[in-house]
Amino acid sequence: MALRIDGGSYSPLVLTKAVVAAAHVPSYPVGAKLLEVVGGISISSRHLNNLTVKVGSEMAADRDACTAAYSEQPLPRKPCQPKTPIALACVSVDGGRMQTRLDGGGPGVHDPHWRETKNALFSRMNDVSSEKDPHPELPACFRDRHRMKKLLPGVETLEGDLTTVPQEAAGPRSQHPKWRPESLFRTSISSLAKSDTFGTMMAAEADSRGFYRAANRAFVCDGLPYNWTIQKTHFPTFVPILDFVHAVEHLYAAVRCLRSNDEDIWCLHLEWAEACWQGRVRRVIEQLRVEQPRIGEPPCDADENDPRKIVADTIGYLQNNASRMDYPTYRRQGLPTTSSLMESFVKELNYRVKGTEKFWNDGRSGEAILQIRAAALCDDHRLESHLQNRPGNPFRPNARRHPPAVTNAS
Amino acid sequence: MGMDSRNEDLALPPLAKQKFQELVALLAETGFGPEGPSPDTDFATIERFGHQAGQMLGRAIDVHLVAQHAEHFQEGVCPTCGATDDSNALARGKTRPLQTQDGTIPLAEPACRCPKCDRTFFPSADGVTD
Repeated sequence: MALRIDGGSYSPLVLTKAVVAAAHVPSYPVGAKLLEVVGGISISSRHLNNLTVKVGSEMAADRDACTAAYSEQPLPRKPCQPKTPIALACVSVDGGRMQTRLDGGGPGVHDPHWRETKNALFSRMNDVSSEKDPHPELPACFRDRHRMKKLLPGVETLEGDLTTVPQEAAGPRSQHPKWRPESLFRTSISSLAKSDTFGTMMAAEADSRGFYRAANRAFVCDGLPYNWTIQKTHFPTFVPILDFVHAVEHLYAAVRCLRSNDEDIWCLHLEWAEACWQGRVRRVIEQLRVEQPRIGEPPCDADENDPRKIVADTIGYLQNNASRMDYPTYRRQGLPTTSSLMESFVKELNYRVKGTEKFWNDGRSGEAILQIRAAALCDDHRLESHLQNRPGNPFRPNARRHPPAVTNAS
Repeated sequence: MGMDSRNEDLALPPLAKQKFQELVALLAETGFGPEGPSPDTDFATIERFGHQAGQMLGRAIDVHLVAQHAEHFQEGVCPTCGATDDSNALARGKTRPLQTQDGTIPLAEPACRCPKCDRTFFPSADGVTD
């Protein structure tokens, strides 16, 4: 029965267009220009900034309310039913970085510093489980030196390199059965919150999607300890999986410390990467342990780039994550083995929030842009939905709120 | 290609449809004369005129409907304390510019005054956030 408008100068539909534009373009000035030229809507970039922060803060408050409601449920919690049956629910978490400045420091950049963002992806995926391991051999991309050069620092390619595997040699894609699960519907959250708070936010989001009632559940991430703490605390029924690409990166770094010849490095790397792919990580750890004495144990004050420390750290990394590297089983169960979707999501998020010239206030505006951008990347149109369902405000900013204070005229 | 919501016509009864056609003819004649556009008129000129007329109509409909909507709010209950202001909210109403998809309209809102809080509120807006 009511108009659901506030004291602002934009109608709800114009506000929706403005904030959605601000979420998708790289900057507010670009958003303002686009709105004027394409949408015929006149708005300054500063005003667009303020509106976006306002709406993003509302979304952060809504998220906190949902998280609190989830936390305060009587135990044992009753997981929500999914709206659509879920064959595989995959949760991923990863950190990102954004530049921030002192909140309330006035115009300009004061106390510039990097802050870590926490990002989580929730994907409903299809079922590709099979009786046998559908892909026991290391995928061609990991054998391709040219492709790995982008991923692994120091990979050298030679003229007429035989280890380069062209796509044609691997056969057309259609001939291969699809053994990697595909994302059917995704939502995401992002925040500057600490990991324990973020873990609860993740649990609330996963529950709202009905992920705890999915037929199969997976939790994929890199090997950072706080990720596994979140998994153990909030997602204990999800299969924890270490991103295979991160494992490969660690392996390559260690192999470079153990061999000097490029060919020897590449051959040993392939051997160990394939061993991990085939679930023989403990064998790799044994071999690394045999190699370690040859270069020596790292001293306590070893530099990060000390080869002895790199090898020791790799042993520790693989040891800590060995139970989450049973890749043949994951492939049979149709679970993902890499966090590539998460990595792509972080790139999409960074398109809006990360840049040498971008500084967000370390507080409200930083958190707000993360809400807006993450919501804009969700498949459930939650940004548009929030904007179209905002309550109105019966007061106006220009209305007198209190009797005017008595002041001494001077 | 997805559905383009701009192509969804309103379901008008016959009389409204006839009046609509008459309005279209009137506006077209106003823009281009009784003979219509001259041979050297490009499509962009026609499209621009049609769009401008549509926006004008859109703004007029917004203003008309908001005025009708305001009739429901002759009195209001203070969102803060619950006290009722039954004086004529419409008479006390305030008008401010609101930017819509079709341009800026004068938005007339009925205004109430809470006798207890001594504060103006706008009952047609809804919500209690502040």
